[in-house]
Amino acid sequence: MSDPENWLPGVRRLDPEALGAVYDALSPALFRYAFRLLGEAQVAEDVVAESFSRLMTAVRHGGGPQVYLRAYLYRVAHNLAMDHHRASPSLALDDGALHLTAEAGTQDDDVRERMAARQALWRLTAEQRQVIVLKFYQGLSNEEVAAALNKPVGAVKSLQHRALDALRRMLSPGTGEMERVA
Amino acid sequence: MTRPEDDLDLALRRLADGGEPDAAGQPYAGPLQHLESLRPTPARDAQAALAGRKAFLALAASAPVSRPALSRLTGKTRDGRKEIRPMGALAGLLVALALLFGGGGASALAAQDALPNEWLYPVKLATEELQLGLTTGPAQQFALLEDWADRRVQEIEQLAQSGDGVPLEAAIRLRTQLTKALQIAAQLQDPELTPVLERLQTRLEIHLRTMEHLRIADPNGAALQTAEQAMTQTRAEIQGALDDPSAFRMRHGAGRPAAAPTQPLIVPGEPDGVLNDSGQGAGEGAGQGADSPGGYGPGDGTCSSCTPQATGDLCPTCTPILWSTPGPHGNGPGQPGGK
Repeated sequence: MSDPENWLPGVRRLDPEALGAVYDALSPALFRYAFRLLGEAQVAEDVVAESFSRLMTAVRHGGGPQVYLRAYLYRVAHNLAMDHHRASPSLALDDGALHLTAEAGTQDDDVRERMAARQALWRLTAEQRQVIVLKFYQGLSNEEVAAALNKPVGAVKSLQHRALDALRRMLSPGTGEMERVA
Repeated sequence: MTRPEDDLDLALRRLADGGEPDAAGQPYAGPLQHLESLRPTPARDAQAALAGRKAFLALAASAPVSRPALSRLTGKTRDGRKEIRPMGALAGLLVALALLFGGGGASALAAQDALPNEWLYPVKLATEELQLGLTTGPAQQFALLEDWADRRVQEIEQLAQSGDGVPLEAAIRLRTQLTKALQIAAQLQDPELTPVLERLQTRLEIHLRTMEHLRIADPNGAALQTAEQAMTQTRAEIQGALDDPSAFRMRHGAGRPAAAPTQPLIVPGEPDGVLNDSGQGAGEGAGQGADSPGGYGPGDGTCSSCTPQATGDLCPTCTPILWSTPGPHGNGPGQPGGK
């Protein structure tokens, strides 16, 4: 029973063993997912807590995931991350602020590269961003990503293509995000 | 003939398996390399992870247990009577409103997304009150108030982000509902009490973080300040309740022995306050009885939560009045012995 999806019936019955197993199996990945998007460990932890809380609320009201538990939690976490991103001034750095940060010499190359990559991710559309993060970092299959987005697999592949084109434009030397933060 | 996105998908799969980029994947090798910088993540705080797990399981434990299938199908209670269905009653009432007032029920439904500065908002509050009135059992009532506290915070958040300004009433309403939730929680027995309080505590932690972010943009906003204070005090009250459920129940008037003396009558504006049975109390508040075990300071005499049973804790109802020191005239948290 190592695949968390197999615990879904137990989760729907509110079986403590299944719930504990699901939390243990999925919360670390969810934390990494939120951290990659938001860059703050404490906020990522909050996103994890709220995602599981919303899962519970949904299940209690007869809703929640019917097939893909993992995809459901990622979708909730992404929505929460978007809410936080919109509300958080610290994350909503504009190009000018990124320039200043880089010129002040307080950021080393790694930090700058992470900032640029994260900024580029946030400039994608919400669906493109989900496809990239879920596939590239979280290792979800096309089918699972399709379930998280409520889209057919073909649409996921198209979104992936467009997202990578956009990232190529943003992150290529001389044209995009790396130049802004460098 | 395959589509370019299919070719790219295959190429990415090969790359993920450690292969070399082919013609389809080559143009994207650069951006993918940049994205690698986000792959490392810090180790998760083990304590935070444990606390999150505990809160999640507590939330599940506090969920209402599903009724037997037959009961669900027949809608009858164990003793054969027809079950009262609060939402059914609410729906019926809305239909009746619609018939009587030509769209009143529809307005009530439409009001569910209203914000405090919108004209339908009073309808939203009225339907909430009605729903609470139709809900039986403290656990169910607590769950409703908890959800509405979430609603209040979301409303405050939406108003703050829209730049319209948050009315103080919104924060006071949040405070009132949190206080009410605690009063209802005090009616629960220990096995039920702990998980529901821990669940509310977790939610408050999240809301407080939201409030912190909002206050960055509006550090002097009275409503945000009041809302944050109400949640902080409720959190402190919950912590006290988890440590000592009996004292918590006493503070909220639940579990008092039938033979216990009645609460003193507090009269606002009375120059000497109102004396309690032990002859204490003066000034702005009523003070504590000489032998009283502890409780909130009674404050200005207008707060129904302030009782002579002093513990020195903060009174969640009296915000924004903060009891920081024992008051000689009963205007502080008080000490056993009536000082």
